[in-house]
Amino acid sequence: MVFNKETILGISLTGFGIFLYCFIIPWQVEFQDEDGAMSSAFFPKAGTVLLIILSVIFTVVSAKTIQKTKPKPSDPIEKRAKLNVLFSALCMGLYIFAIALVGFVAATPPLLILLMVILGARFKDWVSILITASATTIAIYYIFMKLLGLPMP
Amino acid sequence: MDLLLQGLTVLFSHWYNIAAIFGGVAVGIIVGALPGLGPVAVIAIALPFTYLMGSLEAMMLLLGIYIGGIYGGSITAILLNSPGTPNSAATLFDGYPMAQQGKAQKALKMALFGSVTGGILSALGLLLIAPLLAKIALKFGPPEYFAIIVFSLTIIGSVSGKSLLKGLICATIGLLLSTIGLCPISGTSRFCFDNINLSSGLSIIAMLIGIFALSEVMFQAEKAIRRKGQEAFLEESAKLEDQRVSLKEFIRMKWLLLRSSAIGMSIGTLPGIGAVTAAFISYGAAVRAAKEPERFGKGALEGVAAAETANNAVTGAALIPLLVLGIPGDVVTAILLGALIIHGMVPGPELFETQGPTMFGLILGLLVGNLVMLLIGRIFIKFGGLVTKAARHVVFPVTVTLCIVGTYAINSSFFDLEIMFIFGIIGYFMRKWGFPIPPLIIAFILGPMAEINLRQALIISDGSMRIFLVSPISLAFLILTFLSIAGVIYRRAKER
Repeated sequence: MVFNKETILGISLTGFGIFLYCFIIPWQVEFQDEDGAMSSAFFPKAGTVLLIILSVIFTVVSAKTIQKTKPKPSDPIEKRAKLNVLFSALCMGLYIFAIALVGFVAATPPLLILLMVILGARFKDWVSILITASATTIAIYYIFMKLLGLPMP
Repeated sequence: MDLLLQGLTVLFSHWYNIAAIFGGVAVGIIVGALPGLGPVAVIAIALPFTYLMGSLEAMMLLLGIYIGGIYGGSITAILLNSPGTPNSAATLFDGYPMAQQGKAQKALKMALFGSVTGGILSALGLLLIAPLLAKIALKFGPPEYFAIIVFSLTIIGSVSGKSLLKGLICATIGLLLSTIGLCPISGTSRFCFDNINLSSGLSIIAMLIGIFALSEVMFQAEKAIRRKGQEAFLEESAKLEDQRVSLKEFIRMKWLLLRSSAIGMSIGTLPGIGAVTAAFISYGAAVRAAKEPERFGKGALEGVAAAETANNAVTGAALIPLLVLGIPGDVVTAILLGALIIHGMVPGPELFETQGPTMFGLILGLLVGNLVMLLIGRIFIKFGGLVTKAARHVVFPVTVTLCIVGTYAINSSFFDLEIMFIFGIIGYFMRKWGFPIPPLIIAFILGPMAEINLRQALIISDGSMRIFLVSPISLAFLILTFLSIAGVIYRRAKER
């Protein structure tokens, strides 16, 4: 039997729900019953039970619609597109990590340059890329710090 | 009538009252449009600056920021898929799809016209029926609140897209995520994993920005490989009807605008619910009333109108319990309460007797503020038109930076940034696999309110569920909930 993506997802969600109910909730949800009211664990437990039920139904429904067609051979453009998504996510993740270490002013221009390239800027326009990256950093710093007096990383 | 004329005289006797409205609305729109920052932060920042101002002038500035801030959130929601404030979360369901179809200008104009309509009707409500609405608001307790929130949750059925099952799974996950933090009733820890940052729960704005804006950047990165050349990030349609809201369209939506204003006013009058819920309820009502509900979520003009009219209709109504009863309904009105007291106006039943002309001047100022917003909003829409012409590779990196700085500025928390990033990835995969995001957001926002009111009601009734059936308001909303669920099931069955 070949599972499709949705069936695997349904099984994973069911497994996650069971794991939550059996291990995480007893460990991480303190139980306290108020007079006459439901306990503090009611909503997490009810939500988890509902998630398990819905995930089981989802798994069954998606398993019925298994496509028997052969999977398409992977397209090289598709691969590059996926890599681009990965790079953009990595850039944003690294940026969040970097501003905590080196601060906004030092971390922002490299992020802007990298993201601009990932999103389709051409290397030959390097002057405009550099100008945009520096001008944006200065403008945001000025608006948040000087005009609004808000905290910045 | 005399008081009204006196109020008018007080308002227009000093030019700086009007200047304060203009300044407040402009600042409010700008800050509301910055992802993450809402009117709360700026009203709090502006409060000390009002110490040297006259009482009416100070309140005009703060109210201007309030109404401008709530409207401003719609601009980035429509153009960048990043809600400036949580109040605009319902606006982007249809606003961003409209922008992608080349109708950004139309969506922005509808958001403005809806906001102004809601704001004006709400101010009129404050002027004409404030004491009556305040009395009705006092009849609402936990059972009634719970019934309203359960009714609001039924819109999940309408915003789930093709698969109701996927929508329900997302809503359940949203509900579970909303239980993270300290229990609102007993204060016990839930899913905190000994992390102090989790004790106050997940930041809604970090989650919204991550799930909508960061995931959009990842989508744009995916599309960048297939694109040739450096095109503008939003193509504007050349058709005139895609760029403006005609009078005919506006009149066609008169009932929707009135209904959304009424919903916004009713919700605004109730302390503790807020503009986000009003926008969702109004959106749900618009979907239910529509002849073609399947258009919603794909760029329906009515969706933008319903959400924006309702969230701005909250502004005037939220002042009703504040001014008449001295009860602040949310953080903004709590700051406004402080501002009133600082300027020698103690809210309560006697306020309109002791400070009649100033109070009527304030309400009329709110009306003027909405008209000012119409004027300034048009300028910002023109500016929004320029943004749509900018290249994608410029707009999205700048958006990411703004989102990150804006989210950090709220709580000075790097943890919020991590949450935002995680939800960016979750949002990308949800969209990729066809899981609708709106149900997750709706359940996340409304879930805690439902829990608090359900448990409070059960404490009052000593555990008896009869409390929900004894109150006529609660019973009426529970019947509406049942009818709404039946309607969704019937519609889905008919579609098959």
